[in-house]
Formats: sequence, structure tokens, C-alpha cells
Amino acid sequence: MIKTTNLSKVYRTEEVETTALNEVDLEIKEGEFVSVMGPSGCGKSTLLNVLGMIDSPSGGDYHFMGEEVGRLSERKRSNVRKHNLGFVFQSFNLIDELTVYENVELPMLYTKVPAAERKQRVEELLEGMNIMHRRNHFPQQLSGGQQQRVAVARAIVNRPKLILADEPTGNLDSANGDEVMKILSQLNSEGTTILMVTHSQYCAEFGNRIIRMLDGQVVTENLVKQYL
Amino acid sequence: MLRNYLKIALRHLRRNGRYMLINVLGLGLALAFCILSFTNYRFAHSYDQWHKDTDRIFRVEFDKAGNHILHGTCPATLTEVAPADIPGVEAATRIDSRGLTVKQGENVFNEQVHFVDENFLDVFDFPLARGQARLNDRNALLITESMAVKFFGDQNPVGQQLTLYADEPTPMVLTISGVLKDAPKNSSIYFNFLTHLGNQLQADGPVVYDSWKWFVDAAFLRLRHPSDVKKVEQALQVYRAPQNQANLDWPVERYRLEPIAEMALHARDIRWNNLRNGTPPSSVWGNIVVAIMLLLTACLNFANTTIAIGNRRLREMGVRKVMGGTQGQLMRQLLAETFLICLIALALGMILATPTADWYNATWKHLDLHISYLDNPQLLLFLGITIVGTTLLAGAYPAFYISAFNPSSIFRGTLRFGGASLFTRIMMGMQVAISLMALVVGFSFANNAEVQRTADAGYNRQSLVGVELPNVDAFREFRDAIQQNPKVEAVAGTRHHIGFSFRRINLEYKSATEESMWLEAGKDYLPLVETKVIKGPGFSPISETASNEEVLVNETFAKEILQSQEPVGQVFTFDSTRYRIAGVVKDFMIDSPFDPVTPVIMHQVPEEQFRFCIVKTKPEDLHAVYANLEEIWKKILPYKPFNGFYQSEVIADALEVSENIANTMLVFSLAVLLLTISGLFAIVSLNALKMFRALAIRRVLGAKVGHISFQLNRNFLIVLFFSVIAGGVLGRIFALALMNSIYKIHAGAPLLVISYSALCMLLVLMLTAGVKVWQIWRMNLAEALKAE
Repeated sequence: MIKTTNLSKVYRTEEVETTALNEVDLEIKEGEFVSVMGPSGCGKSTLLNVLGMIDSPSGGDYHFMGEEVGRLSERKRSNVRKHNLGFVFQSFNLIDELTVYENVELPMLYTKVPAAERKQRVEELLEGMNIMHRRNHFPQQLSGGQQQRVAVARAIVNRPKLILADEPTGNLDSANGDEVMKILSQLNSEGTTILMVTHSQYCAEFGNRIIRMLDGQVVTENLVKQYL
Repeated sequence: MLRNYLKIALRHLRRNGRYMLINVLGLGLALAFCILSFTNYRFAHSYDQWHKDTDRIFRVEFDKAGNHILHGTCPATLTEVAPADIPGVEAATRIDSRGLTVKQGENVFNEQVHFVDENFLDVFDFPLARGQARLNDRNALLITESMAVKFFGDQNPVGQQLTLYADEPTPMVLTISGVLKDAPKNSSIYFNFLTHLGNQLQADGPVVYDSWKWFVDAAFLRLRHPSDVKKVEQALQVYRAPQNQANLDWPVERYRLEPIAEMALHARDIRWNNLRNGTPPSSVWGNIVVAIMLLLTACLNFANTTIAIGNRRLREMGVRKVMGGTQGQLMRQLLAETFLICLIALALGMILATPTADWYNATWKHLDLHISYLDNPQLLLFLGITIVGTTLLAGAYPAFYISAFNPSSIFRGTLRFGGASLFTRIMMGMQVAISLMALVVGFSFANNAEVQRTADAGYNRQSLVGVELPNVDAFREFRDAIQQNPKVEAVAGTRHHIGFSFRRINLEYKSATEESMWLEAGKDYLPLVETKVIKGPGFSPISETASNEEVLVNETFAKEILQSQEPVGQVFTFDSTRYRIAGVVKDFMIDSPFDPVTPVIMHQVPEEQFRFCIVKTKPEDLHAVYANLEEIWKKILPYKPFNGFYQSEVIADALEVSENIANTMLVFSLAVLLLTISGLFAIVSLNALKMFRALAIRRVLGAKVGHISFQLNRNFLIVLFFSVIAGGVLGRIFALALMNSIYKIHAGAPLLVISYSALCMLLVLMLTAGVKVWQIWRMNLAEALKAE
């Protein structure tokens, strides 16, 4: 599904040049659940942003489902993104002005899903996430766990092939974190590919492969024990 | 998607109430001014367009030979012969007028009475309210509804009689045959009394209308087809010869036909335009400029505050992009929000437009603006275009700017904008410049009004009152009676009087024909009005035997006609008489500030020709002496209404215009200033928010209030400096352009007024910023240090 070759990302200011990704070679197959770990500033989130096509690489190649996407225009990247990718953020990134229902519905507005189908999909997901009773609430009226469940629902409502999760449990207590990880595992077991950035070894082991990064480079790749 | 846009827009606006309130008020006020200026423009272009044959009716005008000045009057005989001579002319009609005394029982008023041809109401559409329009009957009189109320109250005036007096107490009794509706204010032809043309009087005798010498106020031709105009105009040129033979002093070079729908627009450019002037172009276009500037300020304020609070929308923009939204979609969303605000503002503007129009009507008495929407498709179309234009003007840049950021940089949390960015500062600078510009124009016109009221006009207009009299006997009686009043310092008689009456003549000087004003006065007149003789001896007593062939001229005459010649002793010819220039008087304001100072000849005449009695007193005694004049009038001329005046009345219209423009501009300036203050406060507040912790640290380290103030506002100082200069310069240019288009004599926009305006502006801005500095100074340091 994903193949990168010498993928680089360099941030430049007038005086400083920072290499966030340094010639990363990576391959992720369909159906995998890959966890990315490493210290702060090692390039994990940058890798996720580049692979999620919300940032463009400075060099190297990035093939997504066989197509080179690293140099696509913003419009084309947006098109690939909205049909194939789902995002879960540490800080949830729900839109404060939209209700739970509207936040989950939002990605389908951009993919022009008919209204009746949108309604059906949103309700199914909210039922599945056990937050249907909060459908008309605004994000600031929800607990952190509930907000992240809404964010996950929003990430999967368009049935993406790949979910990119950036420290999805980082702002949650252990009980809510567990719940979110179980949802991600469930999605993976149903066939969705997941790439997750995390600081937590516990969470990382929900996946089947762990990539460790340091100074913008992939330093180790290990299968999780149960998959050995 | 659109529903989603609107929903989020409404929720966003609800969460940012102050932002929305400021912008809705600003845009609403600006749109109200736009509606007003559109309606004002339409009114100015609607004169005389309501006659059913408006496209076929033309006024006959002529260019005077020699100086090519276009005149609005017409030889009376022309319209009598044209319909028979020229096939394209279907009908011709004339209107003439003069001031008469109109009496009904105890009601006696000086009124302007109009004399028209029998077919006048066939050519023009002035509807009859009651009775019959018997213009073919020389004993009949038509009056307007307002005159019916003035003279008869609730009674039916039809069949009643009115007595008209000219200069002598010889009555002309006419019977009211009908009542016409008042002419609308967008009618060039304006009258209160209409009667047969044959009733017109010259002195106290009838006018001979079949003479080429006599000019009527206006003559109109109704053509068979509008396209005949060129042919008819060409055919009219045959009447130059008879007219020029009969009237050697006022030769016609060319006759012209002007469509009546355009008369009002050009009325001010035409000499002897005896019809009503339209709205001054400067008022129409000045109003439009004001509305555009106000709208521009409101849009700048909108763009500025939207970008300033844009930080609050960044995460939403980032999420939408991640979900697949493109920049175009996000821009459309943000523009839809702007559109929503503009719609709310438009609703407010449509409500505010009516009281604004009422205020404007009260300010300018020639106007009758009505704001109505449902039956006004042009206004609705204008509003549609304006609302789209306003949305793009106010919202396009913020929408582009806020939606342009990369989501990854948003989510990294490093992106910050708003507060005091260069764009924000430039926008703010433009608002300040526009606001100051309006302030300079407003204060310049206020200053102009004050100068007009008090400045030296070249003669004494502060302590003179006078009366216009029908004959020399009345003058003598008046003079003798008023001289008994101890408060009277001096009395003089004159045939013409500065600001009230002159004669315009053609003279021959060194074989060239020149035009000049001609003022005939008594020997005591110049000392009384304090016109200064700067060369020569002035008027000497008229000898009983010698012919009176000596005149005085003003400085402009000496400069423009005599050019470099020594004036005293020069000779010119007028009406076959050679006149010798005996002296030069200092230039003075001939009529009002609307008119330029032109060449003037002052000729001494004997008492028999006096028609004005001018009285000089102390300024504090003016009212008492005026009242005494009125008492004397009632004894001497009981059959005529009092015809007295204060000399200061000559600039009343000019003062009114100056004061009205000053008031309009100051209201406008206040509106712009309020917008600027609100915008500046919002931006300084955001700036303060960004610097909150840094300012707290500086305070902990011992910074004084001046230092905090400088830190908070330093980014604005340079922009404000340049915008104050730009506003001052633009204000001066705009004020001068506006004054030049209205007045021929004005005070301009002096540096002192500009400095004063700039100082006011800076004080207001400093006060605005000062409020924020004070809030920062009073902050809880412990709390502030925790802030991020």
C-alpha cells in the first residue's frame, strides 16, 4: 500500500535548516497495523503528515497504492486523501462549531455522499461507538474519551483504506485509551490498514509491527511478539 | 454543503458577537449611505422625466455672439413663428414670470407669478386637482394646492378672486378657475400661480410678445419625433437675423435645443436659467464618493478584524483540509459567511436608509428622496450588485489568507497571525487616512462657512439693512422717515444694489466688445456700503448741467478689460455713449460666493432713478432698524407686503450649503472614525493578547506605563504617521475639488484646519490605544505570567 524510497523532509527558515525526515525507506502492506515510536522530535508526526499527504516531501519517492503521490498538486492530493485516508489526532481536532453528528458527517460532504446514506452511516457509527445519545452535543460538552471516539468515527466514516493516527491516546486516561485502541484493532481486523504514532509501548503492541525512529531515520523495525 | 456553510457561519457569528456587531453596524451604515447616494443620483437624473412627451420636448437656448455663453432664455416671438415655419415642430409653448403682490382679503404676499401660453398644460403634464384649467381665459388664474391652503385654508378656492399688483397700486383681478397639484421637486418648471401670457406686465404696462427684443424665461418646442431635433435646430438658425437686428446688444450666435430631461443637469452652466436648478453635480458625486469611502472603510474594517481573529479558525481550516476540503471550498465557505454578515448588514442598511434620507431631505431643501424597495427594481438590482461587490471586497482577501495555510503547520501549533501583521497595519492605515480625509473636508467646510460669515467681502455687509421700492416717491418718503430714527447712522439711495440687482451690458473698448456688470448708484452709496475707492476721486456730485459720463470700475475690470493700461482716463462706449473711467474701486463680492468676481462698472445716477433705500446702523441695532423699516413700509405702501432685507442674506444660501456639507461630512467622518476606533481597539487588543506574557514580564522587571504603551503600539506608529499625512493631503485635495465645484469664492483647506483635524484624529486614536494600555497596566501580574 505504501512504499517510500529516500523520503526526506527539510524545514528551512532564514537561518536554520532542520531535517525532519532523512531518506526514509518504508513499506507498509495492506491490512497491516504499524506503530511508529521514537523520542520527541524524531520525525514521527512529520512522517505521518507526509504519508497522510497533508505535507509534501522535500525529496525521495512516495508511492501510495502503486501511484507516486509525493509530487501531486494540492487538489489531487486532496482527492486521494478524502477517498482513501482517515485521520485521528492526539488533540481530537473536532470542529467546535459542529455537533457530534455534524463532525462525523463532515468528510462525507466532501466526497458528496447522498444525504440519506450519510445519515445511515453516521447513525451506525455513533451507535457502534456508543455515543448516539450525544449526537447533538458540541465537542466541548464531551469527555476526552467521547471526543476521541467521535474523532475515530469521523476518520472511518468514509471507509478509508488507511487510518493515520497521531498519538490517539495521548490525551486520554488509560480506560479511554484502551477503548480507543480496541476500536482501532477491531478496524484493523476488519481489513483497514493502520499507521499509528505513539509514545506508549503498550499501545504500540496493539499493532503487528513497530518502527522505531531517531533523528528522522528509521532505525529498527520489529514484529510484535504475538506475530513472531 | 451550503446548509453546512450557513450553519457553521451562524454558530461562528454567535460565538463572536462583538466582531459581528462591529461589522454589521459598520457595513449597515455604509450600505445605508450607498442606498442614499444611489437614490440621490436617481433623483438628480429624474428631473422632468415624468411628462408623457418628455422625449419630444426641448428647450430653446442660445449662444451669445462674442463670448459663446449659453443662455436659457428665448426671444418671445420665436415660438410664435416656429410651428408654422418648421415642419418638425408640433407645438411651441412659453413661460415667463415676475414678482407681484398677491392679495386676498387680509392675506397679502409677494409671489412669483408665471405667465404661459394657452397650450402650456397640453405640452406639460401638471395634473389638475380640482376645477378647470382655462389658460385661454385672460381673467382666469390657476393656483397650486399649497397656495390654495396658504390663501384660502380649507375653503374651495375655485371661483374665488385674487388681486395682483405690479409696481403701481393698479389692481388686476383674476378668478381662480382651477387648482393644480404642486409640481414635484424634480421638476425644472416650478410655479405657484399660472395665468395667460397676455397678463404679463412690464413696469405696469402689458408686454409686447411679438417683439424680437423681449426674452421669455423659457420657450419649449414639442417635436413630432425626437429624431427631428437636428433638422429643427438647423431650421431655427433663420431666426438669428431678425433677433439680432432687433437686439443689437445681445446678438445670438446659434440657437440650440436641449432635451428637457437633461435641463436640470446642466442648469448651473446656463446663464439666465429661470427654471429650477437640479441637484448640484458636486452634491451627487460628493455623496457617491462619501458612500464609497464609507463602504471601503467598513470593508477594510471587516477584512482587518476577520484576519485578526483568524487564529480561532485555523484548526477548523486544517481539519477541513485533512478531510478533503480544497482551498477553493474553504474560500467559498468563508465567503458564504461574509455574505451572511453582509446580508444582515444590508437589512440594517435598508432600515437605516429611510431615516438617513429624511435627515438628508431636511438638510437639502431641494430634495425629496423617498426610499422604497418593492416597487423599485433599479434599487433592488443595485443592492444585489452592491451586496455581491461588498462580499468580495470585504471577504475575498481574508478568505484567501485564512484558507491558504498548510494543515501540517497548523497542527504543529507554530502558526500565529493576526494582531499587528503588515497587512493589518496597512488596512488600519487606510482607515485612518479615509477618516482623516473626511474630517479635513468637514472642518474645511465648517471653516469656509465661518469665513463666509465673517470675512471681508469688499464691502460692509454686517451692518446694512434695506428695502426695495417701487418708485422714487416711495424712496423719498422712506428716506425721510427712517432718518428720524436715532439708531440710523446713514441712508443712501441706489438704482441697483450689491447682492440684489445688477445689469449686464456689452461695451466697446478699443474696438472689442466686452461684457461687464453695470451698477447704477447714488453719490452716497459707495461711502455707505464702504466700497473702497483705490484710484481716482470716486463719485463727484452730479452737476445739474454737465452730462454724467464718468464711471468707476472695479479691479477685475481694470485687470481683465483694460489689462495693462492705466485705468483712470480710459474711455469705452456703451449704448452710443462714451464713458470715461474716473477711478477704480477695490474688488467686492458682487452677489454670493457661488459667483465669481467679474468686471463691474459703477455709474452715478440721480435720485429719480433710485429703487433701493439702504440703511447703515450698528450691528446690534440691525433688528430694531429693520423693524422700524417695516413700520414705515406699512404706512407708505399698505397695499404691498414688506420688501425689506438684511444685507447678510446675500450669503444665506452659500452659508447653508457650506454648513450642510460640513454637517454631512462631520457625520460621515464620525461614522468612519467609530469604525476605525472599533477596528483599532480590536487589533490592539489582539496584539495585547499575543504580548500579554511578555508585557507582564516587562512590568515585573520595572517597565513604566510609557514603555508598555510604546511596546504595545510601536508597530502602528509608522503606519499612523504616513496615514495621517496621506489623509491630510487627500482631504485637502477632496475639499478643494468639492469647493471649486460649488463656489467661486471660498476659503479653501488651510494648513491650520488640516493640522487641527490631524490633531483631533491622533487624540482619538491615542485615547483608543490608551484604554487598552490602561487595561494592561491594571492586569494581575501573577495571572498574566501564567498566560500562554
